[in-house]
Amino acid sequence: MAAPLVVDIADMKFSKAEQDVLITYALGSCIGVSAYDPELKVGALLHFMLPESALDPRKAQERPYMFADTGVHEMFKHLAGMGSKSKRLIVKACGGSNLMDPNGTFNIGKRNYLALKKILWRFNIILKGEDIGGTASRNMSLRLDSGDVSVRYSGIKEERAL
Amino acid sequence: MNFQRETALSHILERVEKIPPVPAIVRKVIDIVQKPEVAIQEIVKVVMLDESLTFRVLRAANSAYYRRGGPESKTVQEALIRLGNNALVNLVIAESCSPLFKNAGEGYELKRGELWRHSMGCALLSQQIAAFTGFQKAENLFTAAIVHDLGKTLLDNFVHARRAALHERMTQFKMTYTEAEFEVLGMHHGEIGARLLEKWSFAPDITEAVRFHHDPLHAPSAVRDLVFHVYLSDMVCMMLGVGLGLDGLAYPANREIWDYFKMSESDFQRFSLMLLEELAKAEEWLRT
Repeated sequence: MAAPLVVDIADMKFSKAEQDVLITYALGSCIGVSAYDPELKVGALLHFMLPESALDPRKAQERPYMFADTGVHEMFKHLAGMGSKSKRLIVKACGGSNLMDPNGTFNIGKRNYLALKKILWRFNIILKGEDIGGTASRNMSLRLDSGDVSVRYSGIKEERAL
Repeated sequence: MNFQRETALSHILERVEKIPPVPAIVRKVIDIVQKPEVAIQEIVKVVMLDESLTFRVLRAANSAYYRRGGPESKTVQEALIRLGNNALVNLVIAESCSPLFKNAGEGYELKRGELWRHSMGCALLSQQIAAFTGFQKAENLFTAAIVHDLGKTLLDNFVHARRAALHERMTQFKMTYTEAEFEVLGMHHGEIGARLLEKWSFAPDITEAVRFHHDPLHAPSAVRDLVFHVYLSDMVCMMLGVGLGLDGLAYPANREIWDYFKMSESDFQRFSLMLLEELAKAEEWLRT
């Protein structure tokens, strides 16, 4: 198997090569979103960091993958460009951790999750798998051959299928 | 206190006792920086007398972060003229401290260099946050932010051997990571870092900022603002996954600090954008 393609923060990678694995590391309050079309075996992995592009529209234009709304939109555009149909897409999400916060002050993780659901709703897509919240750091990967998504928590060796 | 924890703690304290003195060059730089009027020419002199530090300072000064298309600096003096006092002092602090961090972090499940990237991200962001809050007494902020996780370099091996116990405390007993460290090792990384810095005679402001960086509301009032800035920078880094390891985000959030700085949620989100920008600019520098 080829070396995994690493998706950095505020970035997205897509592939149609069956041997590829897309991976992203150290998801804290950020969220990793995978999208896979099982018929064409094409897929993408996004690592966004903030909920709404309205925070800084200029930045969102330069780097759409910073935000949930522009990031998902742009990712789907790339997948559609490869012939993928949005109704076939299997979308999963990991991350959205929060600090321990009874007052909900620093809850960017939670806001990210809500923003993700909102944008997916507009595309008429529901999450087929998710592992969201808590305080852990997560790694997330997507295999292009099978569409399998797995998540690994920091402090735990085993990966878990999502 | 249980037996295992007592043993761990005595080993850790022994380690603090046996730790070699702070590298002479760090000592000199920090001493000069801590004087009320930073004698910039003294810093230039100290750097010039140390071949390896001169090399590193010039390499950093000529990296994309500082150079920004300007002419190349061939001497420390030239770098000073181009960068100005403040930037040069911060750069020298960073370069003199970097050897303390570069090989640490594995116990916390951080890849090589990541603890250093975290320390630098925190220090660079702290300057931006200070500009936002209008923090006046910021002369120790860069140093405090750089060394806030120094304790982790010393606890690395102990944490490595007790990962499962630490993890269990956080997931099953919902402890903060600081509480888990205290439970399992008898002392948390903030306290260890502070003791090490005390041993190295760092200024009390800096040692207290390190000690309280995960418990900012209990910091002595004289260092409160300093601690709040380190805390905020640290939390933004962690949330964005910069230096995020075994501990994850298992730290308390403090609404009081937002209120104290009259920050909105958008302000806080903008800090994330700033951090990403700072790290992108500093990337070449951090890689070396």
